[in-house]
Amino acid sequence: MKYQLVLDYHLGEGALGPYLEGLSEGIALARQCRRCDRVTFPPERNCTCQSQDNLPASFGWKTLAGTATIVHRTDGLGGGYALARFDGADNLAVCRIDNPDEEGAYATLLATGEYRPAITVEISGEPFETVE
Amino acid sequence: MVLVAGTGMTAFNRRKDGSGFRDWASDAFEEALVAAQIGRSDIDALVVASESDYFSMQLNPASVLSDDFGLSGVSCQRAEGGGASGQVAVHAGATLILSGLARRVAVVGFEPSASYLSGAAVSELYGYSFDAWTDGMSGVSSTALYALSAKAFMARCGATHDDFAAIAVQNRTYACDNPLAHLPLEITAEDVRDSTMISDPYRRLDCSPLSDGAAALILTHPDAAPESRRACPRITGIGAGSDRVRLGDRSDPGYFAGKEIAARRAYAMAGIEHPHRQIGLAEVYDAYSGAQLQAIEALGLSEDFLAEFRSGCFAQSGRLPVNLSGGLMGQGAPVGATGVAQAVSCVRQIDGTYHSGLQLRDPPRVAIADTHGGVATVCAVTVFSGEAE
Ligand SMILES: [Zn+2]
Repeated sequence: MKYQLVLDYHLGEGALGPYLEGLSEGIALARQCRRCDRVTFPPERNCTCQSQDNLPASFGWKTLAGTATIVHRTDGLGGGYALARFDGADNLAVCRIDNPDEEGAYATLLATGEYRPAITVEISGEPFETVE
Repeated sequence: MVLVAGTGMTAFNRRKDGSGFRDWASDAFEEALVAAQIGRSDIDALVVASESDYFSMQLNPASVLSDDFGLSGVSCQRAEGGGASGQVAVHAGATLILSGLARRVAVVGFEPSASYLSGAAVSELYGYSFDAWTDGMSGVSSTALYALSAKAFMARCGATHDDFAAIAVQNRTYACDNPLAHLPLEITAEDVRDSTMISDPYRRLDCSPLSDGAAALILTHPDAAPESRRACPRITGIGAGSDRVRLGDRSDPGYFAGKEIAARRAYAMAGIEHPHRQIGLAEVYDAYSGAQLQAIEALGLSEDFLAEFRSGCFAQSGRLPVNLSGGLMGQGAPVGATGVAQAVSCVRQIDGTYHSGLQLRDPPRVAIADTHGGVATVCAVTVFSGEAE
């Protein structure tokens, strides 16, 4: 039998709200632990220092420059994606590459608009060395 | 310790006969029940594994299947852990018995991953099985995330795509002797290298297929199996563990740290101190060719996994054969059924009743099944052993 299901979600953004709003405007808003200063983009809800000693931590938002260095990259039918480190961040981010024909080692965050905000970058600079 | 009194599984493939998951689940359950030599009224709990209602269009599938199986009145639940769902269900079933809450448990995994929805729709849904709120919204595919993990793995340990292609070939070759397998292919490494690039380093033939199918086990307390089944293979260890959900938050995106934790726990429970010496067979979660090598590393199956892999240690004739069933790449991957089917393979190998071309001449005394959801985020490992001496 044939059956079609169409779903139109309105997702509660919760703690990620400022981050997602930043992405829609092309601003890299990272989360910073006020205790150990760890900066994460995309943001972590918990900090690694909490996992270690189980004491409460508090967090603030920090605006990064929005520039990143590619660490690993993959390309193919589904487009280009990278694991990149945003300048000032202590973790890596999975990024969609907007200009996959470019092979540069650097990336800059782009604004994605309000629909489905996600880390999307434009690549530039000298070619990125990859493993084969 | 829990006995695996009976096993059952359907073929894994893309169904074109108009059958549905309730048919496959019933077939697998009935086969396992007959093998266990017990009646359905002897079953006191049912654990169902299925990854997603999006695939089946059935919420609460355990309620439907307990009715279909004629088990109305039993305790029933669904277990879910993404790709690990099948093995999570095996653990849930074993836990019911170990805790004394049940004496005979049916574990049934199923998934209509192939024939119900288009491949594109399933791939999109899979994208939400990682961190849907960050990575998922970027449209990144499962293949791309596994590819990024593989790149980190290759950069660290020196594995190459030639190694991955050898696994892609090997698993499809084993599938040729497995009449239930989805992708029995006679291919060469060149065929793998010539197949379409999905997300480098992964090409089409480095990926596991989307499959339909079901698999089932009947687990019993050692005292609750019929006399004739008391020497059957048993579960001697279960272990689960997890890792940071996002690759970018892991200290090494190429290392399956959650799998190592799961394995250590399962080995400790089973009394395994030297996994590379004591384990005789492994069914591991090869969603992608490189993931098989990453699993061998994290499961501690070798002290020098890359050199041992290249020298054939993990082939059928080697020290510790891996994925003789064909694995996900060869046998297929109906998600909820995958982990249960790994258990079926391990038990039948120990029992000496596996497919004739793949049965090890000296049946392994200890075999492990390893599955995970996400990129090795939710991990579950089970140890199976032959009758105690
Ligand atoms: Zn901190």
